[in-house]
Amino acid sequence: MSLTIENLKKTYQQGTEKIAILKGLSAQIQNGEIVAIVGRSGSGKSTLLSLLAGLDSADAGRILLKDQNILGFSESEMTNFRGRNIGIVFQQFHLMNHLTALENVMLPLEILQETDIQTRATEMLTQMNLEHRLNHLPSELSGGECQRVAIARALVVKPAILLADEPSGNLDLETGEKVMNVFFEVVRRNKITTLLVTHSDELAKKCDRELRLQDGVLN
Amino acid sequence: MFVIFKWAWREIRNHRLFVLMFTLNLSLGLVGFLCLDAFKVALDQSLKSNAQVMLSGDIAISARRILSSQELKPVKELLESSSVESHLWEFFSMTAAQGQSRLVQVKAIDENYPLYGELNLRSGKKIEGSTVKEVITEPRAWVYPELLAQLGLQVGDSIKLGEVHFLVSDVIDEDKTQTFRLASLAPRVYVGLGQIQKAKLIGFGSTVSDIHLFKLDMPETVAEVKSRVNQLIPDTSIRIETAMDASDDSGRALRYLSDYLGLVSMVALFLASLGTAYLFRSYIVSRSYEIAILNALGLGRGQAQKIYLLQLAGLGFVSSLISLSLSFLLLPALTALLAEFSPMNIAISLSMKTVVLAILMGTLGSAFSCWPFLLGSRRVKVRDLLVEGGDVQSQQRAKDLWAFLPGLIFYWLLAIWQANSLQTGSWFVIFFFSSFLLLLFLGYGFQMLIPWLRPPSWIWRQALLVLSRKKASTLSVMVAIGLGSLLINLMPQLKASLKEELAAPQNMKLPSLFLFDIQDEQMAPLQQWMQSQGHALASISPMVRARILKINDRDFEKTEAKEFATREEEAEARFRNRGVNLSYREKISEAEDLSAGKWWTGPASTGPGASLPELSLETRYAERLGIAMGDILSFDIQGVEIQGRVGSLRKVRWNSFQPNFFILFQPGVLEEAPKTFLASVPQMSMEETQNLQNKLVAQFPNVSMIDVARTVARIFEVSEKMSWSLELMAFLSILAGFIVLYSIASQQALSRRWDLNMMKVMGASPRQVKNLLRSEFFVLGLLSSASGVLLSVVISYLLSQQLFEGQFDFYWREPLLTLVLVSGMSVFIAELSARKIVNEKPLALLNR
Repeated sequence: MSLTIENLKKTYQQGTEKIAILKGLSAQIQNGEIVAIVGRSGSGKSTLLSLLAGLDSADAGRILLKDQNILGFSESEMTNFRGRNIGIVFQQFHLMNHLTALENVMLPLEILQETDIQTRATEMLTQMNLEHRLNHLPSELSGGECQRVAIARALVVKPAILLADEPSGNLDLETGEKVMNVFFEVVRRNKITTLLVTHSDELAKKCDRELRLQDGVLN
Repeated sequence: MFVIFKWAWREIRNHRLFVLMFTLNLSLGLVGFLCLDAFKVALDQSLKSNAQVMLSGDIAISARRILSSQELKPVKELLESSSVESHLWEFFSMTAAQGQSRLVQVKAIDENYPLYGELNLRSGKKIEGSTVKEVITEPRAWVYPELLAQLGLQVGDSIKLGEVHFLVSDVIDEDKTQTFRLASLAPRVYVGLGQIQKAKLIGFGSTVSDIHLFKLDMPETVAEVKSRVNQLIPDTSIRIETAMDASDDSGRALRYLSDYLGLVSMVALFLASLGTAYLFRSYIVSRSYEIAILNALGLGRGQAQKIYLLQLAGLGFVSSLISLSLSFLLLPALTALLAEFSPMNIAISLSMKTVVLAILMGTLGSAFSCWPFLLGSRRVKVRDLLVEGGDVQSQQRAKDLWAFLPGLIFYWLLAIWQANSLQTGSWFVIFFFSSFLLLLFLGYGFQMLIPWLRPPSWIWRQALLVLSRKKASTLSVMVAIGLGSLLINLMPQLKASLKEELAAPQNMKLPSLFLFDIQDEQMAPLQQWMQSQGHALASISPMVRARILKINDRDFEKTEAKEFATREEEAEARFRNRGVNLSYREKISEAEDLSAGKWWTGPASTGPGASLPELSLETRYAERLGIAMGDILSFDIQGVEIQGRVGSLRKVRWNSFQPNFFILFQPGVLEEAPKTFLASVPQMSMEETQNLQNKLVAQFPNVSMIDVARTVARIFEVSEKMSWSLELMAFLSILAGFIVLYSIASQQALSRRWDLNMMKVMGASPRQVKNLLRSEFFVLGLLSSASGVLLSVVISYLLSQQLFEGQFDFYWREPLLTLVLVSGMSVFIAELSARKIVNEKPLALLNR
């Protein structure tokens, strides 16, 4: 099993009121499986993603990744674990504007002090059909290209799990479709377990499985 | 219009950090400038209101020689019935007491002195014109307190001036006729004019100022009186000055100092403008989206621009009010600091003129520095709003650079106004912008070099990449901190060279004593006496007083003093109006170098048909008077006209403390003219110098001498105090530089919030992110300060070459201190400005 979520609970304080977002959510994701998480706005998709990425703490429950409960990690252990095992793709790309496409993809490898950094980054960008845009700055790339660089950056460390938050949400339909086609192709080729948060039913259908977040639980 | 006001206010309210940084930058830049302006206004007012007291009359006729009754007759006839006269002499002399001797400035007064103002004595007496003065009838003296300390005297002891013993009857606690306090090298002694005539101190050719003061019955007619006196006295060596001229003269050194302080304060102003421009650029770029929406809703581009112009004017106005309040707090400190240099007690306060200036500078200055970035906002495209995922951006173009021109002209005019000199102001702007461009060039060079650097740590690599790619912010900081470091280092570096140069010009040995006013007939006995003491006189030089009549048959006209528009005009007039001292010698001295022409090979030929004797002129003197090689100069020497042709030009090291002259005659011409001598005594120990000086004073009381080591120490003390105030202003500049750095660092931290958080997502710990920022700002601080220090060394080297003819000594302590402190401060500022973002959880990325 790649990812196991057990009885995950998360409550937010809003003024004097406590709002329960996740109410004992559980799920199991197989190795290499691509799962879509769908749900209405405010249903808790982003909260779930932040807990899975170790960016936020839960009130209760366990998240087992590579047989380790990531919710029990200290902040520094989580930072290190996340860097090596969790890839994240954001709707807003979040590329470093002063770095070229290649440098952006090399950065996580540099932080983790890996070897063959340039070769691996080039290879990943080539898989994303960006071999001709290696030395371009984000300002010189189209939106679709930026998102492909962001995906390459998330995948280059070969994470145990890839979390993608509306990756085509900031792109027009045609560009979004093209980007997602490459996305599916690459994650499937590299057998990377993926959780894809989306509003799009069409995109959800392309995934191996679809989980709906409703009333704080996954169905 | 109301909508524009409303929107402008809303924008200001919603961007508090921008408002805070903008006003902080501008206020700090303005504060030094305003303090200085307030000081200048107060100085001018004080000088004007104290003018008559400082001159002690309405008009003075003076010369650096004894004026004959013939020369004064027409003036006395003119003023006899409409004024009161006071006659005095001023000269330097040696005084002896308790086996010690010192150079003093003697002021020999008559019974009418002072015609205005008063002298306050320690005994409580106030000396005014009508006061009966014991110094007139008795050999008594009033002395400055420092003389008591120097000679270990008390009231009731006596001092010897010439051949007369004067009883020290009182001490002068306040002398309102005293001018620039630190500039006087010797303490003053007041004695009676009749008494000093008995002392036989003044012989032919002695260096004495003979001054005739007049208090007019109708002081308001002084300008007219001056004009008539000028017509009556054509001699260029006789000076005619009114109280206003004298007050201008007294405050000149202080004005020069405040002019230069004003220029240094302009650097702080420039850095502040740089900071505000940078902040505004970031701000306006971030507002592009809103501008596009406003455009889409029907607000014209011009109206949108008005919103931001209105904001700029508002923020500039608020900044000027803040800087006025800060100036108000700082003025007492400035008053205390400059009081030491001031001829009178100056009460500095903010005048209406300064308030208006502050508001103008705040509003116009901010508009000028930010205008070019507003132009870019005009090109925001509404259609970008329609593109999915499209980014609305302010479009800056290269041709917008012209928009900096009004700002540059404004700055240039301001520099001229501050320096009171087209030349100095323009040179300052040229120097300043050259430094600016050089720092930009160095910064750009560094950015080009970075791709070649491959530090092993990813943190250092990323830090360098940021500096290389974030061009605008890196270069802005390089310039801001670089200029501050340059200024703060320039002064100590020049001071070090000055110190070396004063102590040992061109590695020459300075003499111990410099002797002047040696009478012709004293020369031989003085030499013999010196030999008997085991010493020898060196550089013996005759000095003949003369005035220039003509240059190439053109009359050497006297420039009438007037309200001078610039410092150059003022200096030029002063220069032309003084008499000249001529000398002659066979060989060129070791303190001189020929810059043009040839040195004469022997005495001038005489007799009918002989060619004109040769002249050798000091290069800069010739330049100022417009005299070239081959020109013929006519001199009046005691009523005899003598001509000479310029055969060579010389560079003179004036600080050699050897007798040096602007004009030298070929030997064989002036030998028979009435003259005095100058000479020096070669270097020896302080103790030997003092002993010899004491014996010399006893033996030759009329010969004056300067203790060179003591004088050098005094000059350095004065320059030290002056440079301290300049350093203080330079410190303000570097402070402004740091505020720019803080503004940029805060802006950078904010704009890189997502980058830094993304790094944390990718596995970088908060400590690593912090180290990345530390490395980045450490390198930035180090490079900026190193560039500034490097430039300061180069500039001080060039200035040393120009001023001290090649004497340059690298002074390492301040540069090293600057590098360490600026780098440290940069890291500290970066931590301070980015601490919130460094400690933020990357969760914010998902919530964006």
